[in-house]
Amino acid sequence: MKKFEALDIATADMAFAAYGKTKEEMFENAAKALFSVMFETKEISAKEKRGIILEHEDDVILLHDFLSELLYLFDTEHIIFTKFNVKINNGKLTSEAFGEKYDEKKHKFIIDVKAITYHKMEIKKEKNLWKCVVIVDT
Amino acid sequence: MEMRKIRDSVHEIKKEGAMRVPARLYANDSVRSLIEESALIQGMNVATMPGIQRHSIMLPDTHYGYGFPIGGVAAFFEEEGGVISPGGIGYDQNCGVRMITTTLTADEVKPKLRELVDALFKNVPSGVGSESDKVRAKDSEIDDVARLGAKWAIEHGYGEKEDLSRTEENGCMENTDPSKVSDKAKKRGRPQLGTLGSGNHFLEIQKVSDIFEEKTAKKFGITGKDQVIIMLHCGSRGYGYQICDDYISRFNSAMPKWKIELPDRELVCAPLGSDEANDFVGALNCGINYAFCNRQVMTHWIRETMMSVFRKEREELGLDLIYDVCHNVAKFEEHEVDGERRVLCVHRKGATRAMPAGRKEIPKLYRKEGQPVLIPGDMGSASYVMVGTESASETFFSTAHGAGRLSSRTHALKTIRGEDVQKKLEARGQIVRATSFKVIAEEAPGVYKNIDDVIASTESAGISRKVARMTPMGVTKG
Repeated sequence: MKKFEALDIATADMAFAAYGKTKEEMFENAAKALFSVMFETKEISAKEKRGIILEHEDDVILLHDFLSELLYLFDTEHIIFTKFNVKINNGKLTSEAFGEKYDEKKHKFIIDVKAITYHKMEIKKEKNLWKCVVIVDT
Repeated sequence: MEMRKIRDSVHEIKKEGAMRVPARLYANDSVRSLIEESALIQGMNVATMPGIQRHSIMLPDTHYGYGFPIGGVAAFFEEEGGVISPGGIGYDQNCGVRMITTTLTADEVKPKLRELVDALFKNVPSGVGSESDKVRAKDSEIDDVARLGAKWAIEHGYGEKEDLSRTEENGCMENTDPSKVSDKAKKRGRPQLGTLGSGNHFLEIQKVSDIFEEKTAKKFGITGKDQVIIMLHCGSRGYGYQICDDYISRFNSAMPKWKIELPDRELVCAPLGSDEANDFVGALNCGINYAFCNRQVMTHWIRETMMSVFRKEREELGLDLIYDVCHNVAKFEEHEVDGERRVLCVHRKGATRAMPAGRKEIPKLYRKEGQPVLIPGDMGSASYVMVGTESASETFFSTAHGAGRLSSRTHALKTIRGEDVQKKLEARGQIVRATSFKVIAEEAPGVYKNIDDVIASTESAGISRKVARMTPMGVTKG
């Protein structure tokens, strides 16, 4: 199962689809996709850990808020996250995100993501596969 | 969709369905054929919004955005239920452009071009962790930056008062309310003050290739062919992006109480005069001011770098600002609609204000000529200085902001290699210094429309006039 892939559906921004056997796995892969838009580096260690707790009854808003929080942590603390574990229960999301601090000698930066948009954002389950589409403003 | 040509370079899409007004596309036939139908549909969607005046506008650089098309203008009237929408401005609030003239010619700069590009790349931070410890803005001062805009920069030694009179809004929007800006926005913004960011932001050294209106050009500080000019393009960094995101979320939650029906979620808005709208205006003006301050700080470093590389004083080098324009903004401006003067909330998302001679909004210095309009092309082609015209009243005195993307970043990354683009440009004598080859690929010349066609469209439509054209010599990109 592909974890995520770039989509060619937004002229000015970057779009991706992320997949998972569970909703939580899809959220984790969406987070991986977000950082793949920004960085090329494959080896990122899991030295740093941050916790995220969010709540919303609407999964689309929850996904937006989760990715936005990761983006905020990256922008303010310069941690490139690489591994995630997500638990979602009744609209409450708890997650640990692991990564390492940005090092310009080691990490190949591609482009800034300004924000997670709601444009065409969707989450659906097709035949036991969860899929989301996210467009980020670059 | 029924589109008919009204006159050269102006097309109108008839009202249909929920549209309250028609939609207009300003583009000559050559550019029109490149415009995605999806962008036109977005223009039609905007035309459904409450209180929209005259027509929803798409300029020749228009392309598909999220909700509102990029390269679009929409004006709303409060008394008719008009709204304000963060998506009609863009995440990069007051992304904009400024140009600085020099007394140098291309021949004088060429031998030092690489040194200059490297020095600018070093002194004007860009790319990730684009953070600057060079600007002494303490945590507590971010609110001052939000209230004062470019004035804060001047007060702290980054430039001079004259720069303010050559900046849209004199570099400072009034009606700011930093208490309506979230802590998150402040935390993102404070360390990023004085940085370029990445993507389509850049710093470019250009030379004048053509002068179309000599008198106006001279007034703007453009003295002759091969004169070297510096162009800066960037916005409000994480500060503005976060403000936009915060208010999109807040308006999303508030929307149900106003029962506004929208064909696209990203058109989320609030009625002008509502608490939500007023709070957003207070915060938006902070975002706009942050960007003015940012560009002013960088202007100072550009001046310092030039003086250091050429070992000349400021007076010898010139280094005067032509002007500074916003192209992602919403402002309250007076316009005539149906024979009545109305204060409208004019949204420009990837569009530049282009006011004609006589308007009080433009500096006294340029009031006889009209407002300078600065339009960058892609890194391989050209940029233009234009001037505002009377006949642009039909676009609420707005014109294009750039070349407009043709293909997506995803597509660009699949088909273009940044290294090849860089080599091709260097073979023509142009230096590109970027933090990654991928961003060069994403911003490569082929992914944008032809800027000369886009500019020709604005002129044939009568919404701005060419004054001068520049071509790039060197560029730094985040």
